[in-house]
Amino acid sequence: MAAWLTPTRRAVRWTPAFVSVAIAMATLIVIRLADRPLRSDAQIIVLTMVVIGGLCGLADPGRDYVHALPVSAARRLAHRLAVLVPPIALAIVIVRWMGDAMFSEVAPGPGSLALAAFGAAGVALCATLTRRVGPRAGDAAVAAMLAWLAAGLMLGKLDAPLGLALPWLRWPVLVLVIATVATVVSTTRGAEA
Amino acid sequence: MSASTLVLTGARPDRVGRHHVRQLAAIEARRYAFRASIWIGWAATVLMAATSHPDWPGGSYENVLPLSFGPMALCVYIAGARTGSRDMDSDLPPLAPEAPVDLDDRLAARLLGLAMPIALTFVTAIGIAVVARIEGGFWMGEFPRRTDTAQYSPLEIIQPPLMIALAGALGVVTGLVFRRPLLAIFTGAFVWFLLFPAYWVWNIPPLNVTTPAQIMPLRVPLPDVVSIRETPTGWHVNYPGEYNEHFERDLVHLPTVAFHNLYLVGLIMVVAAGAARAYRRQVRLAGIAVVIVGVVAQLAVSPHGWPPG
Repeated sequence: MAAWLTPTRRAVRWTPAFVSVAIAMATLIVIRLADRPLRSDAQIIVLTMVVIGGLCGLADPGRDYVHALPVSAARRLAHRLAVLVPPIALAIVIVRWMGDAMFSEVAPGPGSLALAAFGAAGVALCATLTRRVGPRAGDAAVAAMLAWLAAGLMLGKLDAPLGLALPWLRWPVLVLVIATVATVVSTTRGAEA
Repeated sequence: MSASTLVLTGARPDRVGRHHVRQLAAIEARRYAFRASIWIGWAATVLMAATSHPDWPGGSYENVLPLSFGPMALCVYIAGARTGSRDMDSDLPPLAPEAPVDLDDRLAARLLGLAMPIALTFVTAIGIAVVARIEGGFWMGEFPRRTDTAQYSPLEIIQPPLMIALAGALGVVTGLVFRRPLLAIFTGAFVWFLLFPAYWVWNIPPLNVTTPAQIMPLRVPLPDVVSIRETPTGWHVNYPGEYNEHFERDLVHLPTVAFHNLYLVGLIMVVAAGAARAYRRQVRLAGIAVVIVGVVAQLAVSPHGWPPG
């Protein structure tokens, strides 16, 4: 087993991810018990919050201590993503399966590519902010993603175009590519190299 | 002998009086006034109230008040969580439990300081109601049982300040309970997303009696009506459509609004009981009783009947 796996698994904050999955499942159950349809906005909220719950795990409180060691920021981030992405992807699959199993009619929700783009944007934001604010970047990135989602949903209510309100849902490939490039640049250039 | 040794070995100093807690609350209120999140929430609320006008009967009525106060609720919650967690996440060493202004007093002051965002919300809600009156009112029902002059009642204007008080108090308390403010904010934001952007989940009987943001008008189905002209002229009635099988009446039901406000007061008493310091337990028990009375009374007066028809 890789030497980095256990320390990384222990360093990751799992509570927000567990909380988000629990609330997501409870929400689906309540909507079903209330005999309400599973609409697109509820799916967007439930699934993106599971993604943001995973992003909470990117916080790297020990970053300042290990920064001087010969382990690059890119490798530390890759380790965290390798630990975080599989369980979050599994949680999304389970939540989706619950939705399909519990409701006879399910409105179209965000696809896997759109969720990947949303998550990649959060990772890119975290990697970029780490260069500026250090260990607090994880919290700042999560707060920014929450604000982005809230603003997007509000703009959606105000009938703004989908590309403006939720660009990761409208152009997932573009957002994914931009986010990936930003992440790579942030973790391999300058002081983080 | 140093002061710290005295604290460790001596008796606990006397607590400060109520006057000092009020002074501290005034300081906290000023700190809330300088928090960016409060004003971001307020600006988003005003923006939503001014521009959100869905094209269905009663859509603008429910969106302008109370739903436009959703961003304000989230931002006051965040401000409360940051304020409540100040003892936890500060880089400074925490104040000793023996400090003259102890944790209970500080909690009380932080809760009382919420008077600032609550007052701001109340003034904004009144302003929205006044603007609505000047502009003529809101659309409810469909021709020939339609009006374009529906106005908010004073009872409905009280709901947003109560909602904000609840959100702020929850923020302060969760900020104090959670070791990391991020988890408090994340959990609160998730709940907020479900209560406001997905408000339609909860605003059906009987769930609408327990959701903090209860929308009006109630949609009361009229299964025995076959023609809209059978209904009394004073009613606002919608035709059957995609979301309703029967004709339905748009009804601003003031007894439900009044008891829902009572329910919110009870919730605030339960959450913010810490402000009562010595009477915390009694206030919390009284709050639970008020919550139960509020829920039962709403169900009892509900035009949907019980069980909901």
